[in-house]
Amino acid sequence: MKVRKSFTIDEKLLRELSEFRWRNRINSLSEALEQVLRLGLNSLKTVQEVGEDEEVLEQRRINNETYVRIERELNQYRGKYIIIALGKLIGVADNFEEAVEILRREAPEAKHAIIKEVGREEVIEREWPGLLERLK
Amino acid sequence: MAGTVRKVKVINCWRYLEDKPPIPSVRIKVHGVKGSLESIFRLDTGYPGQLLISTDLYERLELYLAELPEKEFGVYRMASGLVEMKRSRALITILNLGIDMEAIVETPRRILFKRNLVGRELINKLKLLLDGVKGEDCVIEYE
Repeated sequence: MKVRKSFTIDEKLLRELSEFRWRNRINSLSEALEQVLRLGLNSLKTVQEVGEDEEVLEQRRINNETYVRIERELNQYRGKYIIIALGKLIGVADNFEEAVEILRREAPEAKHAIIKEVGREEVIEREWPGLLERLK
Repeated sequence: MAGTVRKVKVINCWRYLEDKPPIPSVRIKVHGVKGSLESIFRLDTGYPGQLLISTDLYERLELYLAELPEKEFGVYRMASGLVEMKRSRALITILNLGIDMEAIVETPRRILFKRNLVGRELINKLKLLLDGVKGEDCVIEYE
């Protein structure tokens, strides 16, 4: 059974889909879209999705909300390690080992924590074309 | 430099990991907040980060107890889209080299991942000789 749905699509993507349709002599744009979606979904099937423990997810959400809220104030600890657990800043350490000790002592029941060296930025987005092969 | 002879002292060698074809690897102990685990990591020059570990190892080491803020989680751009990583800080011991260091450890956030990889950001800190003919990785020192 076919159903009618309306949705928005990027203009360039629509052009590419249209070219795909003409190149492959497909009767309609809907049919072309179906084929492309099927190909895409099949390629994703080899990749298994994972879930996480509910408590970890919840504490991650709370700890990150706290981090965003106090991020500016943390500048005073530049070069030091801050520890956020159970939704609050539980300590500041000179090095990572000390930060882990503080976490063990102050929040042994925590299921999630943030340990961050203030002022040290990590590269966020990177190119890795071969990752899909590794995932499969 | 062309024509320069550099003498190298070979300190310690170990076999490549059996695979088809065999692959250079190192043994690394990752120290989490609640314990340590040792595993073999493949050297992967295609991976630009430091350590990419399996979903299972990330969970067993409870690395979410030393995570970076979510806004610093990594994103890798592939031909077919983006894969988000969760990131944690951990102490590691590279057992073959006897080196202790702090490293950023990551694993895909929503996708099951089964391998352990050492990427360029960490490989570039090591002095290793890859003897592919013998199928050995060696720690070296320039004399």
